[in-house]
Amino acid sequence: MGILTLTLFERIGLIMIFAFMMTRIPSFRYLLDRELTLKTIIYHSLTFGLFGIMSVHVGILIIDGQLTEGHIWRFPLQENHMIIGSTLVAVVIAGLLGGPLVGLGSGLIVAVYVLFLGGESVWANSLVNPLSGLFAGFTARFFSEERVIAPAKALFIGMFTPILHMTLLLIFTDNPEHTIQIVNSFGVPLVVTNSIAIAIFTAMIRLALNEKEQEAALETRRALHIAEKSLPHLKQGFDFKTAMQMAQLLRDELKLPAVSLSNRSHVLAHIGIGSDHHKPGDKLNNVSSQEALKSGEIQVVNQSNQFICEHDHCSLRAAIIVPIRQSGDVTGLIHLYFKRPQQIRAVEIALAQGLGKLLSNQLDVVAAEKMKSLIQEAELRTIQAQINPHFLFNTLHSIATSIRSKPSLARHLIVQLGQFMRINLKLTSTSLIQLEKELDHLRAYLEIVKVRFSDQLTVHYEMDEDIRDVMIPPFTIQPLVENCIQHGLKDVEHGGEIWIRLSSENGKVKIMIQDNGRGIPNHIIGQLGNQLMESEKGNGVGIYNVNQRLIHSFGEQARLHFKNLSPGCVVTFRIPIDVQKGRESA
Amino acid sequence: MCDQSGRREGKAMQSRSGEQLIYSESFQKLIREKKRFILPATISFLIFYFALPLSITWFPQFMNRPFYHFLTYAWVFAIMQFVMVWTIGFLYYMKAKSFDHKAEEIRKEMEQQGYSS
Amino acid sequence: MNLTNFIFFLFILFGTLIITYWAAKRGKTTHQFYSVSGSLTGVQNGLAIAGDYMSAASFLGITGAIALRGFDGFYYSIGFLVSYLLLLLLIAEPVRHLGTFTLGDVVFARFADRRVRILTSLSTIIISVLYMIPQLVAAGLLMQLLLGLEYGASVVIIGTLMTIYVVFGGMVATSWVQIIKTVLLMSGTFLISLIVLSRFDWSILQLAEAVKKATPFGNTFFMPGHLFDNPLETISLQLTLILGTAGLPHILIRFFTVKDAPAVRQSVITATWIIGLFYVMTMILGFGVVAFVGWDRLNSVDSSGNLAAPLLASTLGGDFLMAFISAVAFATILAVVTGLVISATSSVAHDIYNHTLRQGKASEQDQLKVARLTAAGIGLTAIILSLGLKNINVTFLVSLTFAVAASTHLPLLLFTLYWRRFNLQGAVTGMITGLMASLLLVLLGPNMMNPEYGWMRREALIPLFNPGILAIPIGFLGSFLGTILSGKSKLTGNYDRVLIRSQTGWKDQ
Repeated sequence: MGILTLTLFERIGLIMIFAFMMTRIPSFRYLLDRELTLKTIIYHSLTFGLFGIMSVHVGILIIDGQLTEGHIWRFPLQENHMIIGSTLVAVVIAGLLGGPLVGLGSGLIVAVYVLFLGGESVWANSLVNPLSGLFAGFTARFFSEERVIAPAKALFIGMFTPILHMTLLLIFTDNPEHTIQIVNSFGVPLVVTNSIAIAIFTAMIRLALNEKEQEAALETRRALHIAEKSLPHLKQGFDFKTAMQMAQLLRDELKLPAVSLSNRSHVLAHIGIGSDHHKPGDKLNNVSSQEALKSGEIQVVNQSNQFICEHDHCSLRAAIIVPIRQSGDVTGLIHLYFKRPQQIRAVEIALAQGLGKLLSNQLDVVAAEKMKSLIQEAELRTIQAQINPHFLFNTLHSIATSIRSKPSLARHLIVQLGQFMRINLKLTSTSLIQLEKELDHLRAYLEIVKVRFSDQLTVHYEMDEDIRDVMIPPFTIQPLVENCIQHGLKDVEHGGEIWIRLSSENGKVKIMIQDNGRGIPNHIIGQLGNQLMESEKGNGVGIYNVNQRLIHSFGEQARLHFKNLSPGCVVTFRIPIDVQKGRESA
Repeated sequence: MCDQSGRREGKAMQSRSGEQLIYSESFQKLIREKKRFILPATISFLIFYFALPLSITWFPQFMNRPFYHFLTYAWVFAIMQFVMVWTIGFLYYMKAKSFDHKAEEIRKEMEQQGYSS
Repeated sequence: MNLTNFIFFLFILFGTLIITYWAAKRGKTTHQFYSVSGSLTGVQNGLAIAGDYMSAASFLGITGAIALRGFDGFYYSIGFLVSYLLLLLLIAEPVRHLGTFTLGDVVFARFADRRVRILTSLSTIIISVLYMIPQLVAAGLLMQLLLGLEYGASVVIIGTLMTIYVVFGGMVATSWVQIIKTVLLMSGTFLISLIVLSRFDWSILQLAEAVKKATPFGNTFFMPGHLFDNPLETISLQLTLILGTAGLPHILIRFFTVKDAPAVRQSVITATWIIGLFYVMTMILGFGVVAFVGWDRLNSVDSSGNLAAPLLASTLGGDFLMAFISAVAFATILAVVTGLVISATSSVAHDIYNHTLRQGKASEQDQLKVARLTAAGIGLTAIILSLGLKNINVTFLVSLTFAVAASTHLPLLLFTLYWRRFNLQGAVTGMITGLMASLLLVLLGPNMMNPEYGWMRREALIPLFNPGILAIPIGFLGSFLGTILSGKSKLTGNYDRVLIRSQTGWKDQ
């Protein structure tokens, strides 16, 4: 019995080698995670049926009830020959994996083959296959909710099919004595070897499936990684430059032959193979691209009759076209190019799908952020445009006192106030104005203030001629000057001076507002412009607003800088000269 | 105080509606229908079952008469017991579907009357 | 023990322990432990009920009885089956609706009284342990014969295994051990029946002819009278069988493992098909034994007939088939005793510990801990008792348990569910009189009092081996009179609520 068991194990080792190779074949693994449809049932039955036929021949040859050394290939068998061994392993695995139908199907294939093969007890040897497949299928369903049954359970189930086999031999025998002898000498070795083989095979398949699952997890992580990396590019919007960066990123991460990005009508960037004839600015005239734009669904071009490129020598033969949506509308496409249609597997399609969704979501997030900042800026501007009631009251008071004694001064004040208010109104509706206009506004303000301070105040302007047309957010300079007057020069009886210097410096406009007042108290200089403060002399909302708007418009480098001098203080900020362009792309 | 009296009131209401439910048309109907099936079924299977030992004791000649080869009438009667079990089981299984349906309706009714299910 | 036997034995061990491991890993709640959280399907539970119910006595005993006694052996099996109609029609669904884990719950639903809960759980424990001991003793003897193990070793192995299943796997492991046993038992008997029939060209008539020639009874083998010659005894036995099953606690608690009434129904009907088909197959097996092993040989090897099926397997398929059938018998015994352990455990831990000692306020962890300890204690007790009772004939305990179940639990259940006037006094009196009557009648009967081999060497006062025909009416009468004589007792419980709940499945908690 020991030697027999060993021999059977050796033979089963052969099958295990084959089984191992089978689990390495991608298409076999692919079959495992498919839904069980009629088609896959037939595929599975055929695969395992063939596997079973192979296992038939791997079995050991028994002549007249005696174990005999022999070749693997014998066909047909003689009357007193019988092959016993591991046939059932394949069929039982089929049943355990694919359910009763697959078990039955593969069992029937083996059964028919065994009938042709002939030999002793041919009916029992044949019939046991479909029965075992069916049995394994039902028990797997009954005992387990797992996709692939646990090896320990498979071991237990695997033990019963050889018993069934032995009983069938006993049922279909013409010579009971002889069969009893066969059953007694071969039964236990078969039970042991078959059940262990089945357990090992299920373990192999579970391992293969686990690998697959890990692969899928890896792909998911990759998609997330890409989405994360692309976020900074996306933030700047889709133009030729960012599209190029994105395409580069995608090509590097996905290791594809070529990647291109396009908006609704034109290619924005193409990186990789075929860039000689795929050029930015090309029109999108491909049918599949149009389809992707129209339906918003991912398109896979992997049929030989579909052309992804009309160019004769283009080596890009397949592609996945991923639509990018922004607030529900398709705003662009990503083409992931492949050299051969076979390279597109389910994994790639899933990855592309995930990527499309992630990028679309991120675009939406970016758009929402932008929208939010625009709204915020508009709100801030509105607050800034509100004329300080004290200022208005003081001005009206000045007009009232001077209207008799100095009618011309009163008239001048009224004109300036009108001017100031008109510009104020106008500025509220625009997000950027020329520096010139901003200064007009400031002058109107200062004219009024000067009257009130009756020449205690001198204002100096210094401005480079070439920066008159530089665009600047409205209400940036005036509140700063107002701050100087209200706080810095508050207690200065006479000789108050304000310098306003606008100069170009390294492609930027440097704006400095300096006074000779008492300076900024040290405990608030750090907070000024960064947060609102609690104090009797105001909460700094004006400065805060200016600072926030500058940062929103031009980034951190445009923020306000405060510095105490002796006497007075200076506030400085820099804005890019090339504002026009910056605004457009932002 | 208020809470307590409220609870007492709730209890009183519950037992009132509980009694009502016992005498409610739908529940009585369910019980009647169940009785109409279960009572005759139980009595007849008991009679059928005890008829076997009794007839073996009282009519041994008849029971030992062959019905088909080795099978005597006693065998037939014994095997009929199996058939009887399966038949009554099947009939009850079919019949009980309507009981389930009615029981479900009664449970719903109770919930509507403020019983928690 | 030879190698073949050992390997099959190992497989059964391995399979059931895997199940226990898996069961132990799944949830650790009392619901899971006592009732699989009601998550079994009707068919699964039907298989488990069949596994719980078909003892080694059914498989080995009835095959042997048919082989040795012909018709009467087969006749014996009918009562086991028909009793399921009583369960199906009157008891199973209401029990499911009223109880959560134990029979005590069911009775408590009507009489919110601790005493009646304790009594119910005591009788449950008595029945379970009394039934467990003969099973273990028989198992020990059987394993001795089949596997060549020592009696003591067999009892310890089986006793330890059943304890492990329950302690670690609770009802989950119990259920699956029972399901596997049913599958094994059914397929084993089915395959052997096929082998038997195949030897006679698939003709029962040819088989019957061969049987006729092989038994000393000749043609009368197929006629009644070889086992039961006393009509009163026969009727008494039949009464006990048919009414006892409906009161067996380990069967009744199986109804808590499914989710609703339709599933309960489905499980009972599945069980009747399995059990019925099984007995039909044992008939073929019994005939096969006569035809192949021979009446004389069987009678000389083992006059009780318990070895009939293994001998048949050995003749038909040599050591291999015999080892398989022995393994099936092993699984059969295991499944039944495991079911008994869990039924006793839930009574002690749920009814007595949680609901009586702790007023139902014990934490989940405490309940589980006590349940596990209880199971271990019960297992140990049963092992020790069985080891001590090796040389004593304990088979009468089986009929005693059926008699106790029929005369205590059945009246209690039926009256609780269907009799409005039934009261606490009636319940208590009925239980006590039923229990006392059964015990006393057995004590005074020929099982105990026998001039040749009894514990008391004298003529029996009551000449009935099966006291059911007296004990059962006494139990019913006790309940009835207890109720009537207590006058207008107010302790009738809340019958309205019980009626609504038991008939509709409505829950008011």
